[in-house]
Amino acid sequence: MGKRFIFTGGGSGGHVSPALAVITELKREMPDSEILYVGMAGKAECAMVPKAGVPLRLVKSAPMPAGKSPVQLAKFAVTLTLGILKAIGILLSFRPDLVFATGGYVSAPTVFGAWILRKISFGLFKTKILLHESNVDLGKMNKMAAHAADFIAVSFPETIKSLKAEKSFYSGYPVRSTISRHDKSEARKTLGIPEKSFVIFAFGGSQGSRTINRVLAEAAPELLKDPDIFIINGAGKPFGSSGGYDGCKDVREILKKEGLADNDRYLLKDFIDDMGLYYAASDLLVIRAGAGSIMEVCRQGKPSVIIPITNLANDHQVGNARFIGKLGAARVVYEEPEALSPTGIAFADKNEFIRTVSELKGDADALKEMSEKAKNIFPGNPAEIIISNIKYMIGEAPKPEPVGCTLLFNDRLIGLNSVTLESFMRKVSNGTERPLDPDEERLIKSKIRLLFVSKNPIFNARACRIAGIAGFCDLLPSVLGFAKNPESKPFTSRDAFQALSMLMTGCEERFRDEIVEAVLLGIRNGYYETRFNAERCIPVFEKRFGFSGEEKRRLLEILYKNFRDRAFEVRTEAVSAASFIDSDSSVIMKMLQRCYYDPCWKVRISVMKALRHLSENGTITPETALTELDKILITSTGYTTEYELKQVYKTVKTAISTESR
Amino acid sequence: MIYTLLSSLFENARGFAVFKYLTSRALIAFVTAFMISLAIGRPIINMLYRKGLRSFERSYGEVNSQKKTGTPMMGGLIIFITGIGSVLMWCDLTNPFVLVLIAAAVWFALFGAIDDFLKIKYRDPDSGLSRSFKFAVQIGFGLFLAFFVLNPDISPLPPEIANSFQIPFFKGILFNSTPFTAAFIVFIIVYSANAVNFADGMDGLTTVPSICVFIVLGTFAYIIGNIVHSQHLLYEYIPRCGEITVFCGAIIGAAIGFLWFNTHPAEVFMGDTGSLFLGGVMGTAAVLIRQEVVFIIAGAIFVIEITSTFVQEVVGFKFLKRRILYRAPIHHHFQHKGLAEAKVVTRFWIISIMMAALAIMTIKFR
Repeated sequence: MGKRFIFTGGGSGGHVSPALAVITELKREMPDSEILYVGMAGKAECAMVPKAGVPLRLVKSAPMPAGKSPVQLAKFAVTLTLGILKAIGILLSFRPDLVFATGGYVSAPTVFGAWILRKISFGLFKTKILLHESNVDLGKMNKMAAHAADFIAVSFPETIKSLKAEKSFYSGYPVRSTISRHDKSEARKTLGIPEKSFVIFAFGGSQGSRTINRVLAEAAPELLKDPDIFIINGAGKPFGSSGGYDGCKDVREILKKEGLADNDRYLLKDFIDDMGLYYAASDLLVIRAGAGSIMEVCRQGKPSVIIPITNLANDHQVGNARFIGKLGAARVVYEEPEALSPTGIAFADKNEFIRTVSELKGDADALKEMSEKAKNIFPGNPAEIIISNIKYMIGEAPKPEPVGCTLLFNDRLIGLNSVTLESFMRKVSNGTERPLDPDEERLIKSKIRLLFVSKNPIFNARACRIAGIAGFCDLLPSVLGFAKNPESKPFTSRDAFQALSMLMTGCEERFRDEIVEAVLLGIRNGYYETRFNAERCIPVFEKRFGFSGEEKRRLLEILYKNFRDRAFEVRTEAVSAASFIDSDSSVIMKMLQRCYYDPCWKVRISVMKALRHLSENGTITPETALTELDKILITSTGYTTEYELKQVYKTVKTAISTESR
Repeated sequence: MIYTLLSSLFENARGFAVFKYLTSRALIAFVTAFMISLAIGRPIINMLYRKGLRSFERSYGEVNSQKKTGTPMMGGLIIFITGIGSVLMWCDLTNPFVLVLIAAAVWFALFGAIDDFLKIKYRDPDSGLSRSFKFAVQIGFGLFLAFFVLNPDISPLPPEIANSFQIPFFKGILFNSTPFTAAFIVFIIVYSANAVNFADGMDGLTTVPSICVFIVLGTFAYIIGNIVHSQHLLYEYIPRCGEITVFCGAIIGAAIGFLWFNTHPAEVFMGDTGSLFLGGVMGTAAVLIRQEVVFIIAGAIFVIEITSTFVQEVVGFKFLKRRILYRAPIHHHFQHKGLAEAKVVTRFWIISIMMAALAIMTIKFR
């Protein structure tokens, strides 16, 4: 009797096509098996599955709501419960030997239905569950379903680390073998491309990618100056009748503007039927980092420039791209949002793109090495690996040998949100984490720029803080923009000044006047934390650039007003800042004397330090400083305790551990 | 239990009659609870430390001789065990008021302990019970209490007092309204549990204000539960609620016993186990004697703590995107300004003693 299989998974084509690839292979291997696909109405599977000649049943499901709103959660729970009940019905009537799920919330009802049946049927219902994960990092659904599954097939060797080793195996991402193989020169002849050209083939999937199209079209004038370069652009066409982004039209407009509309070395296509032909003809690919495209390109053994979509769930495209990049099979160019533009549309920096491409073009050895590495990343035939494991699971074959994996590495930057990114950067700057490499730095800068253009002022503020902690001086203009903008929310301007004081030491001379202007505004700001953070910039600025006499006069006028500020931190920092820039002993001493009995002792500490500083730089004599010091009220309410025992514990521990070494 | 044993002797032996009086039993419960805490405090602290139930920092840091990291948490267990132990010994366990208070104590201490345990297990102050779950626990008990007080079939309170609203400096009942009272009871429970929780942030900061509140509540319970005193002082008489005095006595004893270890520098923190428990019980006691406003006055410190947190986080962070106080809750505001911890705590004690005195004063000024 033939075995029976249920396939499920969907939502997007990326979850359906691996399932279909396995189905095709399965039909060939076990022709008498019965196959059923369980999907959800109105999703990609409804179009793709019937076309492949597989029967389709529908269940309800819903994605996990992003927020914590109880109404949404309740709705989600009800929908999922209904879906699971229906799926249980399907499972009981079909009685499959194995459920194969490719992830996505569409697969949730079937997987959990099968799991529940197994739990409550006392061994009568024996269906096995096999999951497949297409990205480097487990999706939400697969993370939960991993407990229910018997086995998990992963597309990237990297993923096995976050799973139980005995439950997971590497398979790769199954693609239907429809890609034709061609000879390079023949393919070029067919497409009418000169034999000697360096062919760049860029495509962003069937719907096209705005970022890839734009960076390519904008870089074209520069790139095409090189007579060898030939560009093929699969710009995509809008999906269905709903309009959407029309890549071809977009690219054509840009090209027209650049005067390249009819250039015969820029081949613009809306849709590409025979990918194999184009793959064969090309030298370098420009792609997005979806699991499918990466896998396909690597199996073709082509070097590529990857532009991942940032800001996706789980950062999975960035994760995929960095994985391939670290293995040396591709270069990664990150998206950047339009700096401070209201729309915040992402783009890739065209200069960086041009630099990467021309670097690769001039280095044939590097290209060769990249394509060698690409070929080896995903060994074996994914569908075959999965089938042999399916056979093992239903008891028809012995356990297959695991396919060798490429080296693994730990990506510490994936899945960081703005809060965790900040604490991560703190760890980097205090040495708990190892320093950033240049690629990581680029990724983090791109993340910070995304936060800069966010409409939420809390994110803007956090971006400033992160930039400050990391010491990214090239981000200074944005930070300065927030500091100077009187519309900035209190937290944003506060953190902008905080970052400013950290970035100033390494910044360029040309920002000098803008910084002075910002500081002059900042120390008069309505919010006390902004005021004192701006005041903190003054000593740093004095050390780095030095104020002119006129600037000092204007600053001191405001600072002396701040000596009487209501917030003690403003007074503290005003005292310290004034001692750095005022060289007229009579004025500053008169002002300081007013603070000798300040109700807050922290201000008095600052006064003492100011006296020290003044005597050091010779504004007052040491004798005056000493007499003045004795006039200050030194009774205070501050007092720090020490735990003697903990002190001894520490000394003993360090002593013993150094001795033992 | 001892009370039940002895009650059979009241008739026969003259010497044992002393146990019949509320005041004497309250004092005995007080002393008992205190003595038990002294006896079991040290072993419990050692046990907590050994089991790793210690306070932590977000990151595994070096031992810092100025920081409190590593101090055992969940010291609320000491208050709970000794307080409830003493209550079981010296209270009339057939009294419905006492039973509801014990229920409150167990309910809040249980969820507080779960919260503490989760936090310590994951070494992360955010991975305890979620905010909404805690609210559900508090609102759940508030609804139960409202039902208990307002349902004439099971309520030990006379119906016209059960749904009354009384305020200090004003004789008798201000107005009667069942829906208002139900909502108000839920509010008081949620408020008191949270407020005490927020106040718990420095050595001894929660303990003494709680003691003050329990003294006030005990005094009022005694007056309201006594037919002569309540008539004389123009309070609405609630039969049998005098037993709450004994309960308060026991909790005060337990809290003082805990303070023995908790005073600066603390050897143990009460954690959510203690703060939710104290907050929940004091709110319940205030509701049962229908003196919520007096409770709010006596616990002014808690009002300040919760208001400051609300103002800072909701008004400041959410809407204005700025700080309003230097730090919140307010004790950290003063600490940031430069007041040593011991000074902040003592000043808060002084304020709470003054507010308790004011609350007691309202008895005569009516």
